[in-house]
Amino acid sequence: MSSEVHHYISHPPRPVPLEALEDELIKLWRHPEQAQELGTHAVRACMANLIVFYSPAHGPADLDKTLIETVQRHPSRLIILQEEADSGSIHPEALVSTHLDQSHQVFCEQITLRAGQNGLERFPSLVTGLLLEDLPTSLWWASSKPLPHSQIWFLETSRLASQLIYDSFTWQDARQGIRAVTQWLSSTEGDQTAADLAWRRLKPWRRVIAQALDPALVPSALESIVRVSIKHGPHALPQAWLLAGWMAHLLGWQLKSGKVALGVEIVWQFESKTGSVSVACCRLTEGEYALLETAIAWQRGGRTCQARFRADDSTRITVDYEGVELKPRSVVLPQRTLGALVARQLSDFSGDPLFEQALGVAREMADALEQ
Amino acid sequence: MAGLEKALVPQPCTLIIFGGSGDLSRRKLLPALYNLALDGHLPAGFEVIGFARSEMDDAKYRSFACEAVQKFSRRPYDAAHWAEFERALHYQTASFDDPKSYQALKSRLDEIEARGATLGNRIFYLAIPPSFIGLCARQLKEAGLVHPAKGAEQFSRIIVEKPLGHDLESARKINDELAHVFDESQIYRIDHYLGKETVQNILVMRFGNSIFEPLWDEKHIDHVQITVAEEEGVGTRAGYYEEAGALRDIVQNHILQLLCMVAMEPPYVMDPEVIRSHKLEVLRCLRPFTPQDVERYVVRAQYSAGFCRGLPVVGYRQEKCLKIDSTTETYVALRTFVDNWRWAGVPFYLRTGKRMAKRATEITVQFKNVPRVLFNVDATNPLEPNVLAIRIQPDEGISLRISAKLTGARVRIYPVKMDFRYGTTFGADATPEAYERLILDVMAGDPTLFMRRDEVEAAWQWIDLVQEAWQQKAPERLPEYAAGTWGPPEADRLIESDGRRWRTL
Ligand SMILES: NC(=O)c1ccc[n+]([C@@H]2O[C@H](COP(=O)([O-])OP(=O)(O)OC[C@H]3O[C@@H](n4cnc5c(N)ncnc54)[C@H](OP(=O)(O)O)[C@@H]3O)[C@@H](O)[C@H]2O)c1
Repeated sequence: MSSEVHHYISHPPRPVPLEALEDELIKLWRHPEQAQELGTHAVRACMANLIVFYSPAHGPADLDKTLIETVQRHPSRLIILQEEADSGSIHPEALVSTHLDQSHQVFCEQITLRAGQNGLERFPSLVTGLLLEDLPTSLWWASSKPLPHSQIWFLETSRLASQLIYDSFTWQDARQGIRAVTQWLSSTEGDQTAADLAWRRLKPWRRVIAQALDPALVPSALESIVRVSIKHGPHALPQAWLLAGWMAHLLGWQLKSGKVALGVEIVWQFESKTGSVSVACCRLTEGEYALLETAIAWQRGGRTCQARFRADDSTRITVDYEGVELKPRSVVLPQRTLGALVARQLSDFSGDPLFEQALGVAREMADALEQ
Repeated sequence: MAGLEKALVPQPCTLIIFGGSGDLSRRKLLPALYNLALDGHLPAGFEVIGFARSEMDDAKYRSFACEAVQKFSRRPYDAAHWAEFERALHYQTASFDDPKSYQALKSRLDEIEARGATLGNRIFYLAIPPSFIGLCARQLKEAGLVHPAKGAEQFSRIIVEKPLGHDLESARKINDELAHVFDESQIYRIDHYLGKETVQNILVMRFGNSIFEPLWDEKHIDHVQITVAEEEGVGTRAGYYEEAGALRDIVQNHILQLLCMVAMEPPYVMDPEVIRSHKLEVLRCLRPFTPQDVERYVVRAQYSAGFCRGLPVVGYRQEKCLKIDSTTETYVALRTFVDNWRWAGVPFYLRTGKRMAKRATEITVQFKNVPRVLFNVDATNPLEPNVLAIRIQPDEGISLRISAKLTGARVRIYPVKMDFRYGTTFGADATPEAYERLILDVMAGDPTLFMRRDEVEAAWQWIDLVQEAWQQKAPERLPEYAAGTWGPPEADRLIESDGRRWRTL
C-alpha cells in the first residue's frame, strides 16, 4: 500500500474565495496544474462525492494520508468540513487542493471548508453547490464526537448523502453513540443508510462463525445456543453489540434484560425458540481496539459444547471446539487501514440491511442497561 | 461575384445597439464583439454605434466598452487588439422618442456608410426595455433608416431581446408593431440559450449519432427533466422580475426552447424554416392545462431567507424595492406532456427558480429501467436507471450514467458516469459565448437559432393557461423554500407522487 501512496502527489491547499469556488474547480478540471508538471494530460477520476466531517481535536491523527489512500482506491471529490476550535469564526474559509496519481495521471480534488461551531450552519449550502451530480454521495463522520443528530446543519448536510459512514471504535460513550446513530436513521425517510466501519471489520468474524457453526458441520448447534461470551479491547463494545445483534437477529432471539455485572462485564438475557441465551461482553483493559475472543456454547444431548474464536495476534482468527470432534482451524484476518476501509465502504453505498437489523438489536441492548 | 467562402459568412454591416450603454451591452454584447474580433470572425467592414440616453462621445464610449471588456470578456483583454477593435466603436446620444435622435443616427450612418466598407447594411440590436420596441421600430421607419426586405441591395435586420411581451396579447402587439416596419425574415428574436454550444449539440447528438435516436421515444424513455436553477436573487432586476415572475422569465422562453430541441421530430434538412416549424409542432403538442391541472401539476413558490454559498441572504419579500406582500413566484415546477406519437405518456418535468442550491441548467433524459431479472431482482435496491444529462451551464457537456461491475470476485454493480465536457475536450477557450454565435448568425442572415413569431406566440398561448388559472386563485402567500435549497416540498410531492424524484444537480 505504501508504495502506491508513494506515487501520489498532493498539491498544497490554496485558499479560494467562496464566491469563486465553482469557477476555480471548473478551471482545475480544464487545466489541472499537474498536467503541466507531468507534461501530459491528467484526467479527473471520480466515482463518488465524499463529504468528511472532521475536527482536529477529535479526528483521526493523519487524516490527509488516510484520505489519499481512500481516493486512490475509490476516486472521489473530497469535501472536508473542518470544525475549528475557535467557535467564533463564522465565515467559512475554503481551500482547494488536488491529489494526483502520478502513475495513472488521474487526479481528485479536495475542497476543505473551515468554520467554528457558530459557522457550521453555513456548511450545507456550500456543500450542495460542490457535489458532482450523478455520483453517489457519502458523509464520513470522522470524529469521535457523537453525531449531532438534532442539529439542523448536520441534518441538512447528512441529507445530501445517501450513506453516513462512522466508526464506533472512536466513541467515548458507546450508549450515547448508538442512540445518536439510530435516532438519525429514524429521522431519515428510509432512503439513507448508515455504515459503521466496525461492522466492516467484523466481517471476517461473522464469516468464520457462520462457517464454524454451519448446520452441515454441527447440526442443530445454532438452535440450541445457550451462551455467548465476547471479550473485546477498549472501544470495541459497540462492535461486540453488533456481533451479538447480528446473531440475535438471524436466530430470532428476543431481548429480555441486560445489566452491568462487574465494571467491565455486561450481561444480557435473550429468549430463543428453545430456551434462554445469555450474552456477556467483557472489556479487557489491554489489547487492540477490536474483538479479541468469542465463545459460543450450545447444548447437545444434555452436554455443553463450545466453539471458541480467538484473534491471537490480530492477523488470524483461530477456532477450536469443545465437545465436538472437529479439528481446530484458523483463517486470516485481513489487515485493512482506515483509508482502505472507507474506500471499500464507498462502493457499498446502498447499505447493508443486515447491519441495520443488527444495529437495531444493539440499540435495544444499550437501552436495556438503563432499565 | 460569390466569394471564396462557401459557408454562410457574416456580411459587412453597421451594428446599431439601442441601449448600448445598458447592462446587457456591458456584460454580453461588447465582450462578445471583442471576442469575435479576436477570432477574426467579424467581417472586414464592421462598425458599431451605441445608441442610448447617456451623454457620451465616441472616446467616452470606447473607454466604457474597454472597461466592460476588461471585466466581462471570456478571454483576457489585450491592449494591441483592443486598439484595433475600438476604432469601430461610435456612440450617438439618443432619446428613443425623439425623431431628432434618429436624424442624428442617420447622419452618423451616412458618414460611416460613405466610406463604403459596410456596404450600407444595418443591424439594429434593441437591447432596451420591451416597452420601447414598438416606438423604436416606428421611429426607425419614419426616419427612413430601414431598407426593405426585398428589392434593396443592402439589408436591414433587427434583433429583439426577451421578454417579448408578458402574455399572448402583448406579444402579438409587439410582433404586430415590428411587422409594421420589418418583414418576418428581417426579425431575429433572441433566446440566448439557443446560442449555447450544448443546445446546438442536442441536434447533433440526436441526429448525428445512430445510438440515441432509436431510443428517443416513449418505449425507452421514462421521463425528461429540464432544470434552470439560478443561484442569484433578483439583484438589480427587481422591478422587472416582480412583474414577470419565474414562469414568464424562464419557462416561456428558455425552458420551452430546450424542450423543443429535445422533443422535436428529425428535420429532413438543416433549413431554418424546417427546424423552426418542427419546434413549433412540439409547442402545439404541449398538453393544454385546465385550471384543475394547474392546481395539481404546477407548483409556484417564493424563496425565504437562507444561505447561498455559505452567506446569509434575505427572502424575496425582503429584497430591496419589493413589496412585503408580493406574490410573484421565484420558483415554478410543473409536469407536462407532449401529446404526439413519439412522446405519448412520457412526462416532462420542468423547474426553474432563483436562489436555488446552485447554478445549473440541465436537461436529463432518464431511460426506463431494465426488467426485474438478473442484476435488478432486488426490489429494495434497484439498479440506477441510465440517465443522459445534457449540461448547459456551467461547464457545458454531456454525461451518460451506466451501470458497471466493480472489480472483484463478486458481482457488485456501481453507477459510473461517462462524461464529456467541452472545456476539457476541446480546450478551455473553445466554448464561445452564446451571444458571439448569435450575433454572427444575424450578420450571416441565418435565423435557425432565433424564434419565429408563431413559436413565440404558441409558447405564450400555453403559458397563459397557467397565468389565467393563477389569477383566478390568487393566494395571499405562496409556498416558500429556503434560499440555497432545491425548492419547496410541494415540488417534491409533484414528482414523487409519480414515483420519481428531482435530480440533485
Ligand atoms: N441584462 C441582461 O443580462 C439581460 C439578459 C437577457 C435579456 N435582457 C433584456 O435586454 C434588454 C435590455 O436590458 P438591460 O439589462 O441592458 O437594461 P438596462 O441596463 O436598463 O439598459 C437599458 C438601456 O436602454 C437605454 N434607454 C432606456 N430608456 C431610454 C430612452 N428613453 N432613450 C434612450 N435610451 C434609453 C439606457 O440608456 P442609459 O443607461 O444611457 O440611460 C440603457 O442603455 C431588456 O429587454 C432585458 O430584458 C437583459
